[in-house]
Amino acid sequence: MPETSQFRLPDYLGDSHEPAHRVRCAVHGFIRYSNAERKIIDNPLFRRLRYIRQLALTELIYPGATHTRFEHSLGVMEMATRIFDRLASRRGGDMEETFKTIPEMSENTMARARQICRLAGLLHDVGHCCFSHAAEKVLQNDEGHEQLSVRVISHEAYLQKQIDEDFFPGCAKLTASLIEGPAPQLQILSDIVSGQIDADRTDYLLRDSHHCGVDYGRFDYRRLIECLTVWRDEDTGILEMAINRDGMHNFESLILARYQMNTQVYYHRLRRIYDLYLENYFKALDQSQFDTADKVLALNDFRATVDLMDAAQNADAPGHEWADRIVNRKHHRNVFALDEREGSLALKKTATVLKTIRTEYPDITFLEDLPTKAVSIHKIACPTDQKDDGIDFPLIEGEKRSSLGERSQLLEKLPGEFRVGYVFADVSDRTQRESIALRCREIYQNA
Amino acid sequence: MSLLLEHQWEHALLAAVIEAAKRECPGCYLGRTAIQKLVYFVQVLDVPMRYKFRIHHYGPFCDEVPSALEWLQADSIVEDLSENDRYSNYAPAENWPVLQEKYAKELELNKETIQSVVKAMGGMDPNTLELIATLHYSFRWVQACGGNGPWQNATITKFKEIKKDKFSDDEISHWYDDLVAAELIEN
Repeated sequence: MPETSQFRLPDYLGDSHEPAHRVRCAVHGFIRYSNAERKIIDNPLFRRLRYIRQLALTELIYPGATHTRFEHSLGVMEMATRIFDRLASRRGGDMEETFKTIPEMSENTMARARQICRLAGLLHDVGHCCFSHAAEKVLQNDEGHEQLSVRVISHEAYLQKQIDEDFFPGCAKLTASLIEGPAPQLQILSDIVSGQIDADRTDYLLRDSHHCGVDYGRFDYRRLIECLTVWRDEDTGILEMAINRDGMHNFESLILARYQMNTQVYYHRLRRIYDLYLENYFKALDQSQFDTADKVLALNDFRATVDLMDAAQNADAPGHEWADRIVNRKHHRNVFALDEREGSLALKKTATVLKTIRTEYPDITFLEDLPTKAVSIHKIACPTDQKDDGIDFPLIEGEKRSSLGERSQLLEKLPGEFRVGYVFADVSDRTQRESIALRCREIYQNA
Repeated sequence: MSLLLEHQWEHALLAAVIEAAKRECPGCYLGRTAIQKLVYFVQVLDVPMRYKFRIHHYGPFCDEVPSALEWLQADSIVEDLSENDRYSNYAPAENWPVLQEKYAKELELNKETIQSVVKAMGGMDPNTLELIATLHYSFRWVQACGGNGPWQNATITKFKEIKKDKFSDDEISHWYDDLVAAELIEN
């Protein structure tokens, strides 16, 4: 008797979408993909993600965190599909009517919409350089991995031709637009991949939690996806992702997961110091090694780690000091941390702290870590907000629309973002470190 | 003075928009809505800022812009002269020249575009900026549907769906023609 699939694909999908292959994922179980998708997954440009760890040097703090961008990208494709299918099952007609207005999607509309959503999920990180975000500032000259991902997807020197031939004409451009900023009609597809409730965050919170061995990032994502729906904004005609009232508390757990993973993992003080070392190490190297997209794409964590280990052993090598600290785990210690409740003005006071302690302790080297952006937890508009900057996320109860920010007490109380900032000192003696920490706090309070 | 925080080129370009707007129109009130719309048009004209705009209460809006403004304030590159928490009035502050020097190359490349946007729109009140930015957004919607035009009727229909009767037909036609003359949209 022939084996029957346990999964019923949406009726609008044709044979070419048949999930002929599957791979076992540590978080989502089986992830299935078509022949054409397999060709993308097997392309060296995508395969390189097997050699780029998701969390760079976080494994020095959480030894299990050696997972890669490869498995995360497959996970985002899977999550994006589950969200898309849920939304399509609720308001597929509205979605089809809107997407149809885009010429490349006038035929097989829903199948094509689902396909670009899957591809955007799969390829959203394809432009990541080695060591993910930690080296991005230096290696990609402030360009960011997103720009390079868009280029890899939409440029004929990379994947554009293959995508357009194997899927449908114009597919590469539409896929890239979901990452870069789509036509207003396709905004909801972009939000599925990266928005307030999205495939990217859902996957990395769950996956990073799993591999780090922490529970902070877990939440009931199945229930959350089950409660998603689509709302058509009467004024703009734009389709928005919305949530049913029943899913409000699941959304709150997602927000808490994001908050806790940020404080406990992503902005862990030791992780931050090793990121600083990586940045300083790459800054010390000959920059002509990374001055083109092809050179950046040729790098991966494995190759860079070999160089890093060589540099750690050779006192004359560029970046030796930082490589030595990373390889031999000789790190600065934290002597001051911003209170996460404080606003951006606290950064000015931190500047005074730094200036003063550098004068008072001239023999000690200090490093500061003040990330460019506040850490965003959510962007939902709440009634208590002073400024009119938040996103009005639709909450649906019956046929009535209200706003998630109006109804959730937790969102109202939880700040939408928080600041992180550290001062590190090269001091191993605990007593001296404690005395410097005390002094820093004193200066900060009087600043 | 020196900079305390790390910055990206967007920060320099954003501060340059504020500086140019204040220089072009010294007495004007430069609030959050106005900055959003000026940055929207600067980006439409290919100044490489990576802000993603979506439609909001007062036209196209990007939630990264307020965060960037706060960051610039923290480093005394811009300041908010308003004494009322609900409104802002941004102006360049003491550290602006330091950032300007750091990103001199990027600023020089985009100086003319920023200047021309600010010259044309810097003195407009937030309502007019909302109108023209939403018109442009409506044009993008209609253009994404394909074809070779004409675009005017469809764009105005889309605009009216979004803004209902907030603006009169005369106002809409007048600003549509102006945007066509400025080559920001097509007929």
